[in-house]
Amino acid sequence: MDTNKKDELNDILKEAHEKIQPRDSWQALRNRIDERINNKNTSSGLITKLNGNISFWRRAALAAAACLVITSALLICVIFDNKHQSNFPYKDNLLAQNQLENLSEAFSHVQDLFEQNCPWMIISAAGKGELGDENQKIIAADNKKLIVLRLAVNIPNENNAPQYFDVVTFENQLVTFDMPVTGDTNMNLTLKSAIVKNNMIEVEIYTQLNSGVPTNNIVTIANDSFKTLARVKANGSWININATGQSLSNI
Amino acid sequence: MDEITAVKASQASNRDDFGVLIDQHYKNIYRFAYHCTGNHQDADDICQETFLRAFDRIGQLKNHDSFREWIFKIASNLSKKHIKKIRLNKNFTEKSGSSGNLYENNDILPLENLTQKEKASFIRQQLQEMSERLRMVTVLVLMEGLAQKEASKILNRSEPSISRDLNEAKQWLQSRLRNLK
Repeated sequence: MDTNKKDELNDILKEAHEKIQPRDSWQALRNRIDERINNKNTSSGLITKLNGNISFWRRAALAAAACLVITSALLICVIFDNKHQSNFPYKDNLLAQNQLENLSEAFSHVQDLFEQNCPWMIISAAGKGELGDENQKIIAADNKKLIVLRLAVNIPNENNAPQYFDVVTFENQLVTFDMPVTGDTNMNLTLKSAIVKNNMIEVEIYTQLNSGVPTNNIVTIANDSFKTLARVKANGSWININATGQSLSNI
Repeated sequence: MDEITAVKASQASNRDDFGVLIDQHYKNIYRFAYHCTGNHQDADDICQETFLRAFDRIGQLKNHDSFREWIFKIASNLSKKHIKKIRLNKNFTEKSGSSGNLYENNDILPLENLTQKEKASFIRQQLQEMSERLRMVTVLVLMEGLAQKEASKILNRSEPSISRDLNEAKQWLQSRLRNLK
């Protein structure tokens, strides 16, 4: 490319860049950013698809929904903690029937409040939780079937004990979260679960270390023992991600 | 108020001064997100989410003079997540018949006699056909005017690989735009 052509290309690239603007106006976008920040207690990290015209009552409903999810998260946390401390046998169901019913009920309310958005949650044995939602219009999640996954992540050099996570998700819903691995290394996990033959759970998993090349795998897991979902090499050591899971009755 | 002062003031919980930082960067972040996603609604969401996260985490920013690099890194990570999510959904829901082009307007215009505005539109379309790796480097370095070193930090990659990608991107654009006068 000669110099004139290169200059012209640079000019066109810059012009193409500068021509981009929001559908409404820059000021409207600026206002939406302010609104998000001013209302961050009700929307931070939870809602990604709300537009600037959201009403007060919708926000209130979402806040109530978040409370419900947190309540059920705490429920799981307590159950998980008790079982974990007593070295519960993994061949047992993940949750008892009444606990599953409580969860189903909580998610049913949440789903009503979220309307087209499907919530998911993840809770670690250490008691940390994360909530999220997916827009149904995009992912076509089955908002009637809940799935509970238990992940056991073996990270070397961390007292060799696996880290456990419980994930509650709708069928075919994308769940994306980050997990610190070692030092500056962060693992991004995306899971999508589906109910297949004999009520088994098929999990598609995508893993990505920092901004490295993502890898994916599809595994049908059992409900009475852990099965390997993925093995990822980080800083010369292997990280094993194992999972067991069960589906809940329709909500 | 300069950027470093605004960063320090924001870290001292001064919301108004964070507004100064938003004013300085929100258009660039929106444009970057648009190039990454090819969609105004998603660019809007990513732009909002970027500043929300920055506001939440501004206290963690140690180098007060690297706000631009930091905010682009947040936007870059959110955009990558979004792209991955879209690809995952496509894997499941659009098993066939997809060109992989996320851009909203798929009309390809003839290059001859295009106005500058039309050429700009054509460039935006062509960028959407570039790989995500090359596109991000192109937008950051060629369009946003960031140094390769900054781009390497934002994208968590080495400078030589950024440089290689930049050359590859230029060649790619050259091949697509050879009809431009």
